[in-house]
Amino acid sequence: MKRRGSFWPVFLIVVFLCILISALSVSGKLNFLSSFLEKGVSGVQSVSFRVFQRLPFMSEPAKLKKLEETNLDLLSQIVSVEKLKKENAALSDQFQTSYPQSMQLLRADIIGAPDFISGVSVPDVFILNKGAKDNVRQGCAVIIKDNLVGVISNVSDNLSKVSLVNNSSVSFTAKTQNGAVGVIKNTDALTLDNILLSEDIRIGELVLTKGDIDSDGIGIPQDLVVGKIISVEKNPSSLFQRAKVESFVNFGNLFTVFVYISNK
Amino acid sequence: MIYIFLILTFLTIFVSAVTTIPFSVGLLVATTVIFKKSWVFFLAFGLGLFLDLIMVRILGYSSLMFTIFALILFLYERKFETRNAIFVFIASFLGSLVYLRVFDYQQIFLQSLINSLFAIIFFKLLWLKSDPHSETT
Repeated sequence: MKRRGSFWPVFLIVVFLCILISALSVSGKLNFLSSFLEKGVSGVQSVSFRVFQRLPFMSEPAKLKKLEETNLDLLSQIVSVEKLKKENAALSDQFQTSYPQSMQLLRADIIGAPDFISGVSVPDVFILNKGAKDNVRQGCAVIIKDNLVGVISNVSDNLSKVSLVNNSSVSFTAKTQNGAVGVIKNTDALTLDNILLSEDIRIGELVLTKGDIDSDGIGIPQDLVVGKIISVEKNPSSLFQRAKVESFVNFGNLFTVFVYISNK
Repeated sequence: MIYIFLILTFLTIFVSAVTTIPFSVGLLVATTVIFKKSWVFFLAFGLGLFLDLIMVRILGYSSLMFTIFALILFLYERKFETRNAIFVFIASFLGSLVYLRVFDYQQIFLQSLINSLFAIIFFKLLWLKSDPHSETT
């Protein structure tokens, strides 16, 4: 067995560096450095993501993409019509209407989708090229057209991480078109859970967000499309019923999304 | 050999942006086994920092994990022969498994398996360039 020079000093130096960087990063004193490094890294990540998305065996045909976009447009129109109907009914009855919330959309490019294998498995996380400097905060909703894509789970100065609706860590209240309220969870599949047994839910019904905005104006706005019900699980002995939901968004094909940010 | 190493490092960084398969662990194992130099710790530090940056995590966590992993490989290498594909496979598999479990990724066994196979390719490439006349087991 050969004897080699000791590696302990180098190891200890590197470990010290790691701990120092971690401590500074946790305390937020490393923002200037991470901000600087992120700019370079996000460039590499962006190029890499786009290269892989353009690989023929990883992307879907253009015709299919076009159809998906049209589908999303039509869904947006359905939701708008439903909303108008409700507003109209409210105006007719009591001349009431809700004020639009002080939110605005921020366009963000997806620069990373560190899923298992891009195009093969469905991503559950996106990395966006907008961060705290652009007023993106943890908990902000991320959308495409009227569809909920996910929720911001981590933010740095220039980048942010989106946990998509199919991510197991994402959970929020939602309602069906008929007003049955439940909680969106993701165990094996996207599920609308905790719906009262007395509620009537049907396959094909749209699932919309119920709205969960905090006092700072950050959160998920109401009436965003989560998906449609594809199956209902109703057991008379259970307290609640549940429904499997399928999102209309093809996460693998997205390049750009919009972040709901507060005007405050 | 250094060119091959640089190309592999660049590819690892490039691919890390689109997949959660920790190719960095595979590269780290292959590099540690072939080079057996203490600068590998700095490579572990750099790769970890890059992964933390692209995944918007607290900086330094992955670096610390990779550095400790490299230390374990060095300690093992002092006692046993590590320049073989079986060791590279097992070390990459276990390293990936721990990394993916700690950061709570999905399908960790499959990802670790794929990473181990790539680690062997990295190892063979580096080995051939370092000593073309020798055979690896």
